[in-house]
Amino acid sequence: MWKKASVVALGLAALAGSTAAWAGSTTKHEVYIDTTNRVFAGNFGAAHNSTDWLQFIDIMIQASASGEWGRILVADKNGVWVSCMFTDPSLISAAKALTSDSYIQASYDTNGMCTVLEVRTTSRHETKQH
Amino acid sequence: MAMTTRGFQVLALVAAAGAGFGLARRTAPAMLPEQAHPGLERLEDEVQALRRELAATPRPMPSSGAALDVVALREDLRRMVREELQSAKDSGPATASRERMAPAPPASQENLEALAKARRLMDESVSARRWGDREREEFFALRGRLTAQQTVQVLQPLVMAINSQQLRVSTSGPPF
Repeated sequence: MWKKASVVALGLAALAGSTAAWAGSTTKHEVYIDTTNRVFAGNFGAAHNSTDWLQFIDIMIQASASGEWGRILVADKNGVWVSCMFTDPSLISAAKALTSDSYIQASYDTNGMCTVLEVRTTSRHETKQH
Repeated sequence: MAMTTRGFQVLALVAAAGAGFGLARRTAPAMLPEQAHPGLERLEDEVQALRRELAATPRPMPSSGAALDVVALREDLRRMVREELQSAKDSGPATASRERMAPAPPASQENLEALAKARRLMDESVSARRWGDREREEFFALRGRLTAQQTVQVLQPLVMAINSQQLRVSTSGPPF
C-alpha cells in the first residue's frame, strides 16, 4: 500500500515538474530601471505576478481637442520610480499598440520626456496569473 | 506682188543675221573656265589667304570662353540663391508660426488662471518633495482646462523630481 502511494506521488511530482515544458518557453521580465542610462523595461505580466508589492507599470494616454499626450510610470522591486511623458505621434502610436501582456522598453531624457518606446508582444513573456 | 518681194527681203535679212551670229560663235576662241570668270579666281585667292591667316592666328582657348560662361553661371546662381533665401526668410518663419499657432485656440482667462495654479501647485509640491492624494486631486481639477502641451509642460518638474528620486509619491492610485 505504501509502495503504491509512493509511485502515485512520484508520478504526480513528475507531472508537476513538467508543466513548464507544456506551457512553452517563457521568460520573466520584472521591472528593470537604470537611472544612470535613463532606461527602463519590463512586462506587465511579470510585474503583476511579482510578490514584492512594489513594482508596477502604468501607462496612460490622454486625448483632448488640443491633442494627445501620454506618460509611463514604472517602479521596480526596490521601490525606485521613474516616469516619462510623450507627445510625439510615433510614440503615442507605439503606446496604443500595447496589450495587457506586452513587454515595454523605454528611454527618457533629463527633461522627463520619453525618447524611445519599444513594445513587444510575444508568447515568451509571462502573462498575468491572478 | 509687192507684198511677196517685201517678204523675201525680210526673210533674207533674218537669215543673214542668223548666219552671221552662228559664224561668229563658231569662229570665237575656246575660253578656259578661269578666263571665263577672272573675278572668281581673285576671290578664291583671297579666301585661301584668309584661310592661311586664320590657321596661323592663335585661337582663343576654349577654356577662356567656358570661364566666361562659368562666371556668368556663378553670378546667376548667386542671384537665384539670394532670391530663394530671401523668399524662404520672408515666408518660412511666418508659415511655421502659422502652423504652430493654428491648432492652438486662443488662451482664455480660465485657461491662463488654470495654468498659473497648476504651475504653482507643481512648484510647491516639488519644493515640499510631496505628491499625495490632495495634490493629485487639485491637479486633476485643473487638468481639464489645460491643453495637452500645457499639461506636459506643467508636469515636467514633477516627473524630473520623481526621476531623480527627490520626491516620494504617496497617492493611493495613479499619481497623474
